[in-house]
Amino acid sequence: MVNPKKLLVFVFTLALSASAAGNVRAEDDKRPPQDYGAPPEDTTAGDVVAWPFRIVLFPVWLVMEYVLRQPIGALVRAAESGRWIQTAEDIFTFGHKGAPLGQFSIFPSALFDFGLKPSVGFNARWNYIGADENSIRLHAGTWGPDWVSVRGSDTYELSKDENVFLEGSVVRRRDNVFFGIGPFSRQDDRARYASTVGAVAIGHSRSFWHSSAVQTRAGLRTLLFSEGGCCDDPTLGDEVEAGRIVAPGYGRGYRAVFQRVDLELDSRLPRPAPGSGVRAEAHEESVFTTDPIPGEERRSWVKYGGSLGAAVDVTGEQRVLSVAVAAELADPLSGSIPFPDLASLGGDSLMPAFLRGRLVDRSSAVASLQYRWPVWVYLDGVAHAAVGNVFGEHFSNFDVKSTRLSTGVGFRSNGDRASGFELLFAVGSEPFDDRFQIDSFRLVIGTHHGF
Amino acid sequence: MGSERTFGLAPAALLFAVLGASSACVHDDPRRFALRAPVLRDQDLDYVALHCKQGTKPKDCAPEEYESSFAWDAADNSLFRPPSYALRLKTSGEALNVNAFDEVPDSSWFVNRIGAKPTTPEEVFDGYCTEGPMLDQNAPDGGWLIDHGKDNGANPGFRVNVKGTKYMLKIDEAQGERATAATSIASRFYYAAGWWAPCDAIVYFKRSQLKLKPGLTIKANTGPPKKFDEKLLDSILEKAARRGELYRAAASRWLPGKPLGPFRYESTRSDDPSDVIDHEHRRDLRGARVMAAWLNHFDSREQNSMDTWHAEEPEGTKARGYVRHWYIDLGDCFGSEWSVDGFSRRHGHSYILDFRWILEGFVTLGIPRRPWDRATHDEVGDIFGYFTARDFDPDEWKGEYPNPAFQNLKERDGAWAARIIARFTPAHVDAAVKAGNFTNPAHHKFLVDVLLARQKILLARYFSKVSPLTDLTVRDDELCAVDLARATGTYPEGSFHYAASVTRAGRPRNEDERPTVTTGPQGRTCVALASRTLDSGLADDDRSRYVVVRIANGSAPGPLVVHLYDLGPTRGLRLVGIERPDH
Repeated sequence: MVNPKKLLVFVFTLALSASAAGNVRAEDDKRPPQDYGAPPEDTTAGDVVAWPFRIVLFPVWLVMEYVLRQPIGALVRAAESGRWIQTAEDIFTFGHKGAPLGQFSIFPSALFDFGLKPSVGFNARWNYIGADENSIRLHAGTWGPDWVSVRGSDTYELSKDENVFLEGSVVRRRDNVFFGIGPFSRQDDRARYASTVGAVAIGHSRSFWHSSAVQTRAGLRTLLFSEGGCCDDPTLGDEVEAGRIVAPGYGRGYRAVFQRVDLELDSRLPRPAPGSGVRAEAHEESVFTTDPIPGEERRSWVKYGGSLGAAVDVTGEQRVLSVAVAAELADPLSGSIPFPDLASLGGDSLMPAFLRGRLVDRSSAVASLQYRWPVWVYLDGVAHAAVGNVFGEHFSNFDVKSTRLSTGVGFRSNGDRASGFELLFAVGSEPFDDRFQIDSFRLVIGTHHGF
Repeated sequence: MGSERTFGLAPAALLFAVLGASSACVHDDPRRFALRAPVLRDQDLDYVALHCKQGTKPKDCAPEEYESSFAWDAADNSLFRPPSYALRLKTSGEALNVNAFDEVPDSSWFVNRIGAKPTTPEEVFDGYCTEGPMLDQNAPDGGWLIDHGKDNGANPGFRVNVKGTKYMLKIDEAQGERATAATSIASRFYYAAGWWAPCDAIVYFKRSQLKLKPGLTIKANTGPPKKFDEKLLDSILEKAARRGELYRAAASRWLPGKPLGPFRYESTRSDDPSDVIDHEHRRDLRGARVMAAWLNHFDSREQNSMDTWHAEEPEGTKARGYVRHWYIDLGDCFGSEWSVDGFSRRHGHSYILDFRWILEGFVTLGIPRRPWDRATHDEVGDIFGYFTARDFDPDEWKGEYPNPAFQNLKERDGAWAARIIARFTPAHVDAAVKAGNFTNPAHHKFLVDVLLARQKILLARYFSKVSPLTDLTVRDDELCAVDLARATGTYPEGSFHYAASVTRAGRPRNEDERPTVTTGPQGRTCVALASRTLDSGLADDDRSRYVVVRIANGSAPGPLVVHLYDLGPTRGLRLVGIERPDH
């Protein structure tokens, strides 16, 4: 643990030592300023008016200057002249002096998603590990022992367009939300539960034709429920026990094998090419649990779905207006589907005005309109409006009037999603035929770890 | 902007109203300037004694070398300094090193060259190169000893030592011959304009002329130290532009004096007794923004500058000398491109991290098209990236990140720099570009054309507010000046409508004289101004001798205000001060 007092002393020592260096005494015998002969400048009204405000702002400036600017400056200068980054890189590249620049990179990450626990951590990447084609990525984030997320992947490039990978993750958190099943679940019914989800998989990815790609993966997955919740909300265990909420599979975790296929056909070319084009996506995931529950069939299910979209680059300069429709279904093959594995909306993907897992049922359908425009080299503005909801088995109770609205605006980085940044403010509504009031808002700011 | 500016007929009455308004600022005592010669030489050129720490030999006694932090300079100027200044409500006034003639005296930062004396195109071509030996391109095999790698900078290279004179050789890595040409050409412009800039010259050489000193390493600010061996040399040369078997490089002659590291664009050096003006308040550094805008020297951060210590007796017993300040590493000028195209498009239009544009872009949903949206490569000038005169707006020009001196630029600082830039005729520009030694003549022509077009836009902007009249002389009952806006054809001839008034101390304003203004070729503009017979017993600087002449040219709203003392018919009028109000 870093001692803040020692750190402060260190920083000021650095600053002092920097000023004490050299063979000339500083600040002695400065020449008096020269009289250049220009007439003196009059004091302006602005100068006079500014003084009271300067006095008011002085404490803030003091903090800005001597708590932030000067210490950070001393630290950065020391880090650069001491080659701290290089030293760290040497450690993580195992002292391989011939390592290409940028072999190892690490960035701090932080994510605040209003309604969930925040997290801080880092994203790291090692390139050329063991072989030029091999790279490793790691994300670790935490907010105390009850919120831990570790994800890693090792990717080996078979060619420019093809790779195989091994990935694993463990996510343990107590702030998961569940509001009940069905299109009319209420915001007020929020309950929390604790779970640990682990997965390990091997996969293969190939990109082709413009931005199209196919990806397959197979592996093992575990889900473990724990007692408790968080954030002064009712726990899901209590709510289920009291019969106020139905959560299929709650309390019964699983170990399972799974396989997943994602196929994406995208006619768009990568930036800076104009963003017009069409996109079709389909995915399928089968899960087979390996631990039978006494008196019940061994559970297995399949999730499948897809989306169809079109985008028009209005100016040819990345001002992209896009429409899409998407649907997903979850069908049991045997037994029941645990509620975390049902079709859901919310979170980073569709209907982002809702928290991850806010809407859950056997199927989901969404129609969305999005406008994305560049605001900086690495940053886009994004505005979206979407209508959709979750429904019963095979859209059994689908009704346009039962859909909800999700709309919002924000920033999103347009580069590597592994360390992508997002700032989103969005609001979501109850179903159109059920008061249609805004009952959800979401504020997200931070970096993602989407690999 | 300026280039599209139109001028209506300015009625004389309006001009005189303007003249009258400006005169309202005159105090009871009209003498704003003392009777004395203008300061033409800064005290910082005088040797100054350093107080060495005990035990330091005088020859080792020099200001400390400053190591500039790449990361902190960018982070501080982008994220920390601006809010710190804002919280102090820091305002800045006019530049401090300005003499009574609204000019900058010769100093260790700036020497008045073009415009201050007749300058031939050949002199522009020579730049600082006449001050020392040039690298002999016909040296024998092994004649150029590589004794150092190039640690930092945008382009790869190495240092050679030939008969004791060192030259940093920089190689083109991409964009054809642009980078080497840029550093050679831009150093000519900077030097001719008055700033200190090194002798950077294009050389062609054979591989066999190079000889590598054993055991060399490169130690850059970032990345691991690298061994400089034949393999690395080959990899550097592999990228070089060539003519047959000859490799092309820009040879930058080592600066004289002891290198002290970069100068900063704010505050002063604590250990240089002559450095008494905060750098952000120096006109030469503020005005350098206009020069940087012209050449699109977006990489005008402190790392691309250098201080050198010039000892009075380098090997002697006196610890006396002065610090000279240089612009170096100008290879980014004229359209340098980065690996990320989005940044290359924005160079000169936006900081790397520009919160204003991010916010504006977000709020406007990206509907307005920005210059970087329109940026395209020119078919002929392909090597110059996005360097163009289209969308060039001198007011909106920006470097890589905020520069404290550039941010303090005031109208009169910009106009000062523009008056210097106006002195570059097409022949001067052509001569400077010749230093780039382009293989393809079309590249030479493209660059000359773009520079002249950008110059015109720049002059139209800075001559539109304060008076562009300069080069004042008082002779034969005439006060004459050169209207640079007219001399350079910045505005149509019909835009100029001259008027003048003369206020003599002790006379009511309604008795102001309205002398006729005559014009001639090359922007010559004269006002009849006779000396009067005054009481011979008056002191020379008596207030009754004070004369103020205002000349408006009809294009700039601000007149030229000339201050003189009337020393009588025999000795005539003595010019003591010039002001350029903006209204």
